[in-house]
Amino acid sequence: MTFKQFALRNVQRNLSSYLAFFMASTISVMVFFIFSVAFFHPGMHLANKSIPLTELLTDILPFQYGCSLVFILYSFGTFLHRRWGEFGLLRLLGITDLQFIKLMFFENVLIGFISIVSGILLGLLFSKYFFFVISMIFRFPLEFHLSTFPIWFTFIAFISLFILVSILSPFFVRSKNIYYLLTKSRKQNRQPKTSLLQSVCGITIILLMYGWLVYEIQNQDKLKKIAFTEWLMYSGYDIYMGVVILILITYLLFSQISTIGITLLKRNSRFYFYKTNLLWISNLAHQAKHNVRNLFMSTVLITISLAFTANLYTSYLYTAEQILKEFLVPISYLSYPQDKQLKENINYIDTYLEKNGYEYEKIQIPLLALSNLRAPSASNETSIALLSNSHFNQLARFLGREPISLEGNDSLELVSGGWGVNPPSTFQRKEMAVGERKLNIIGTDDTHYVRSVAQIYYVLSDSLYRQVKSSYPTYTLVEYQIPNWTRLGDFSTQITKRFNEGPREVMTAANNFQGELIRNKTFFFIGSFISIVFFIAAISFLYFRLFANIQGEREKYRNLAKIGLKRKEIKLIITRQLAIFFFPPFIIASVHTHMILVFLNKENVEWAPFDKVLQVITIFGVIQILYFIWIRSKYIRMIFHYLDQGKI
Amino acid sequence: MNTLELKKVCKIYEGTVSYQALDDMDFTVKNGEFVGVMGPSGSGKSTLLNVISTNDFPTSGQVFLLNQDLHRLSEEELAQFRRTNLGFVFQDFNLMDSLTIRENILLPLALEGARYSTMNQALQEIAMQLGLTGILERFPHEISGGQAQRVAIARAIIHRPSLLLADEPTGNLDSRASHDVLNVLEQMNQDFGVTILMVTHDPIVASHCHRVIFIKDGRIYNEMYRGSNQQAFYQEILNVLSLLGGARYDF
Repeated sequence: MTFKQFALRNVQRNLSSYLAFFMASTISVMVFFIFSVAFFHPGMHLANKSIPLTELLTDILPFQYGCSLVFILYSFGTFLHRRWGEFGLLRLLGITDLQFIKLMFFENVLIGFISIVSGILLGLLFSKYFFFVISMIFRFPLEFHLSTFPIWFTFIAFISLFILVSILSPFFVRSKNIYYLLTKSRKQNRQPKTSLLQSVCGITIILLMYGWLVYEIQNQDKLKKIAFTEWLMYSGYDIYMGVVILILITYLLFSQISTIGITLLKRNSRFYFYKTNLLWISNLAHQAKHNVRNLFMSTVLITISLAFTANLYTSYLYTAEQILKEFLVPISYLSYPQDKQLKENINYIDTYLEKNGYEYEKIQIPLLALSNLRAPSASNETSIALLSNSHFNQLARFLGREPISLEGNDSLELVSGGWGVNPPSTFQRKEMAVGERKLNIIGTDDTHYVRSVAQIYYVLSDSLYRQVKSSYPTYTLVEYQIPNWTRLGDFSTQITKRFNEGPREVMTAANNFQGELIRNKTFFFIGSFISIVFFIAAISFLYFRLFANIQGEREKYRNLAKIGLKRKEIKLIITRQLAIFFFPPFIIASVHTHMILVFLNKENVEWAPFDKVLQVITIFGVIQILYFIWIRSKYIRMIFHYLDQGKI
Repeated sequence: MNTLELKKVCKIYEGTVSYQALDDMDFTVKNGEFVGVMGPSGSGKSTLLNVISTNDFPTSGQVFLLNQDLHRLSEEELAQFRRTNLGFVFQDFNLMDSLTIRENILLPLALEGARYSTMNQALQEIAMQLGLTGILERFPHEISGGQAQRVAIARAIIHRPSLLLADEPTGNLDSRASHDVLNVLEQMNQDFGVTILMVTHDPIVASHCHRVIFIKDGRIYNEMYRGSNQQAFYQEILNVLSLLGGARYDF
């Protein structure tokens, strides 16, 4: 028998132990293949340019490849761990490092080849549905088109990945000596004894951090006052901060709860020594360290997929609201001082709306420009506009906000939110003079009132406004509130085209609506696809862990059965242990998901309604429960089968 | 009264080559006896023990324990029966790694759902008897082999089984620890009247029994009772073994 034959037969006859690794690889290949078919689809580039599907896929392909690499490395690691005894034997027989690499190489290329082929076949099967859904979203007939390029692309990408993994494989076992490999180290990691003080500290830290997160969500206004948190919130880094805190909380939660929980369970002797409690609790305590790591990892992965899907789902559902928030009103018409057709154009819009049965409200207010508002600005000068108190109140009422009243030189400063990464405070001015009069700035408001006309507005008292009115050019702003604006798509395109050539600017929310809706739909579809892959990865970690230890568990249950443990009791113990691995991570991930969504939509919490998030959680929950049932029955079957082997 | 009774027990392993492991096995163990089973490798000792311990079923014949026909019971009833009436001591101890010594010993009582106070009382008593009081809070990997086997014995008899089955209990121990474990078994037999059936390779170990049954090729070859002198009994056992042949005994 040559070395190659040995490798081949090793795979052939150990098929069941390669199965988990094989399945993990196949799933990765399949998803990658579907994406690459979509990416290299000739029709994709002909599709509407405003739809960023190609760009999206350009980002996703490397990301997915990276995830596959990590996933395959991890599953390979657990898979090798399970075969330590075998490697110990090979070492004992004098296998060299080079031969070991060779063996791993043959095995990997073999398994890799099979899983790539089956992944591509599965991918071919599913990509039809994928394209069906994609073309439904885009309303663009995207024929299923197969060129050989994606096949080769996937093949080469993954075969090199498997080769890389096989080259890395000796690092997984090199450092271990033969005795260690053969005995699989019977020495155990005893449950670390934690003092009560330490646990209390841990729990306190958890509570403090969670409190901080909740505080940040609820009291943004106060946090804006602090320079550091203001920077965090406007730079968009606060979400990373939140994520880091959530991850820390998750880890601490599991490590502390598991030690405290086990200590408390053990302390209650009456409970601990009652029937099978003794067995499952002690087993949890025995592997506490591994368990914490496992629970933590699956919680993080499940959270990622849940939060990702839920966020994309809600942002798809609330596309219209998001756009309206950005535009403030469905149609706004900014007339420049030299615009002569204001009346005519407004009339045109009104007539159209009335004719087509749209309800609407409108206001018309003048703005004074301290600096040129709409010329192509060469200078980096801040654009500043003035408006009167009564006009401001009109506007405020129109937008459903509070009116104010100003006297004399008092003025309210309106800063148009942050620009880019610069928080509003960088635009704020301590001193401001209009004409010869110094303004007494009584406050600053950084919520939007007018979209992208000027960066700073000063609201003047009516008397002051009348005095300075004639010294500055007057712009006129007309704004419409239209409840049914989302159907104005075509009309919007028409008026933007028609009006924007002249000295005026028309901005319509509906113009962007369709594109935005399709974009969000695409994100939601592809995002949930990726999430499901992540989710499968998360639960596969559990699978690997469970089946990597199965031999030990089988022996344990056989010994216990010998001293009279009933089948019913074995089932009970296994169910409890599995339930602990499956459900707490999911429950915690659900809570995290809710937190993250509230956090992401902190300015408009109503865009992350609990019931919509719950829909997503329910769907994933059902997958989780089905998976639990499947794993449980499979696991029990494997244990019982082994117990039955003893008797013939 | 008979604790254990085997009637014409046969065991045939079917396969490409069928193999008769037990052939018309007939014997009884009386209440309070300490019986040894000896025989060369492949003589059917393990099969015999498996059949008695209900971990395996005979092809034909009956096994009565406390006048109950064991192999008529369902899987669940058997587990229950095993749990209440049998105690096991294995060559490799079979202690649970994840349990402390205290928890290991209490396991059979806990599975029965006994009251905690009862359990503790039983534990105190048995730990004292077997000299385990000092190591109750340790884990199995923190104690010696002799101690581990004494723990296993404690676990096997804490629920007062009718029959203690010991499979090469000294097989993994050095001579001092072996001596220790045998003393404990003898003491349990004398003081508590525990009925013991022990399979062994070792003539010295066997010489501690009241009676030794020799089996060969699945049949009973010989049976011997011990007189008052252990040394003489040891010599007799050696004689039978040399006649039995089939294996050399190096020790």
